Amino acid sequence: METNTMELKYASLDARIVLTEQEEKELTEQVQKFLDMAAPMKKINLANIKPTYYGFTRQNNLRKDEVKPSLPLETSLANAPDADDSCFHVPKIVED
Amino acid sequence: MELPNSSIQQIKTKINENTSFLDELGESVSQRCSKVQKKLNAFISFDPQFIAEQIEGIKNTVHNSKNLSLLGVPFALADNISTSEQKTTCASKFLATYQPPFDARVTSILKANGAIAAGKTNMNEFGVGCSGDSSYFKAVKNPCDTKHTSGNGAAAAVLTGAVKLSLASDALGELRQAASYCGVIAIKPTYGRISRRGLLDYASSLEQIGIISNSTGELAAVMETLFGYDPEDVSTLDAKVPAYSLMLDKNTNKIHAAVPEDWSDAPYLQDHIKILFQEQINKLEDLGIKIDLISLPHFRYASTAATIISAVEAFSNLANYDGIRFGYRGEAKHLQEMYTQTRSEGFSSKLKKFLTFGSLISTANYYHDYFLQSQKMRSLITIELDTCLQKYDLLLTPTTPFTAPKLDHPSPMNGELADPAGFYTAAANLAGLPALTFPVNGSGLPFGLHFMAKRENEIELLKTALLLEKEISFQKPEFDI
Repeated sequence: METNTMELKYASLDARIVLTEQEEKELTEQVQKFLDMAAPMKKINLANIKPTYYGFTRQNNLRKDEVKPSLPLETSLANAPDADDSCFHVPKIVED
Repeated sequence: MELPNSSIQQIKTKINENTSFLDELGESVSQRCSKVQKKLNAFISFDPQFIAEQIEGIKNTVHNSKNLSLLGVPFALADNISTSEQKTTCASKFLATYQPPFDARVTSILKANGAIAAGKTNMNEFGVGCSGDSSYFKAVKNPCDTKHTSGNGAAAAVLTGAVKLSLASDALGELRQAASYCGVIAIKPTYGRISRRGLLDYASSLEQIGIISNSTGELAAVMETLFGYDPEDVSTLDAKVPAYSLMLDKNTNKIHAAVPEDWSDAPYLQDHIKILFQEQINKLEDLGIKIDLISLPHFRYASTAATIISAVEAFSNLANYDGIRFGYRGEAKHLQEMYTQTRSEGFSSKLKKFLTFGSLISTANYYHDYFLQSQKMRSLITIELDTCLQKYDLLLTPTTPFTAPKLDHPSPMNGELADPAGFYTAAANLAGLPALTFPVNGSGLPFGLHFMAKRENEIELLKTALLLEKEISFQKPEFDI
């Protein structure tokens, strides 16, 4: 399987990442090399095997559904790059 | 006081005998960490003032704290484990100023048991890999040879005696690989044994906090303290925590171990590792451990499957690093541009490529052949390992196919997406099994023997490590600090 540049561009767009031309070139080569290495695994017939999504053999341990204190507003906002005393600030949704 | 030569018990006894010893202890920890930092860059955060404040805190409460299990024990946490009193950067520009609003569960437990937080250790950005080449705060040098990587700062800090124990994350074996590179003991417990609350992970279904130590007995004591159910982490096991320290001394049945027959097929396996591992098999047999070569036909695909799963999980988990609520924010005219600027400038080139790879594998063209196939391979490998460990007590391999790579050539796979260092370690993460690396003496850089055991059967790993500690005349690797 060969990966084309457009596929990588869309993938980086989905990840909200802009790759430089050099990074795009390097990644294309890396992906190709990886897919070649993964080819033997891809060929194994696993049609009758169920996928495992968690290496976890027990049920989730859920705590009681009780209201507990949450982080104070001031603490929640403390790490924000741009905020006032009650809200996160973001740039405009639509460009001028 | 020589911190590297003092045991956890000795530290506790000295404090209980005379509280003025705490001043000496604080001074010793600060000096040692400072030397290690200067020579190896093992820490991202290290503040003598913070250590002194903790010493004062213990002094004021010591009359109520005499029986605390880790009283006065200096520890380090990898910088992706949340600490409310120190920054938690994940070794990334993105979180270079991030101050968590709460402590990780493990941080709280260690503090509540009287341990002293010496610093936050350096690592690959967001814990992805063990090549030592992707930290925003530059690489960590190996104490045994500073031209080589130590994988992460957690292993280097323990080997050099800057701290008695350190915790770090392990998604494909990073913790165990670094311990192998530095010649220390490390355990990745069964998935769920240690709460992951407050761990800034990248691969949730694989990643677990593990422990690094210089001694099996001390490792057992720390495991007893850290293991257990956490109501704030749904993935923790609600299972009884054994009294490992007491169980260690009990007689053990004859150990029966398996070795995958194709263990020497690992890519980039160094010749001297091949020879040393064979020598170790012979030594273990001399100690009475019965070893069989067995067929595990899909073990060789573990690292590939785990790389694919971890990339997809990282693409998903790191989606909330968007520059709104915390961390770095790039300059932008509108919201969409802000997301891309923030992430493109805040993440390293290596991480950007890894996340794009995860995004690619999630797309329709790749999902079925690669992601789903990897999840099915995960099932198959888990079944194979469970079946093997029904019959055998342990599965034995080298920890890594090579010793610590050179820093100017971080890994034999430089420029590849899959790290071949994970060839032997990733299977334990896929299946959620406990695994331990034990250091072995070689003529050059250290390397590790890797043991896997049944789920929740960490005691088997500890007993084996103790046997090796007693019977194989292991000497700590030489280093100059």
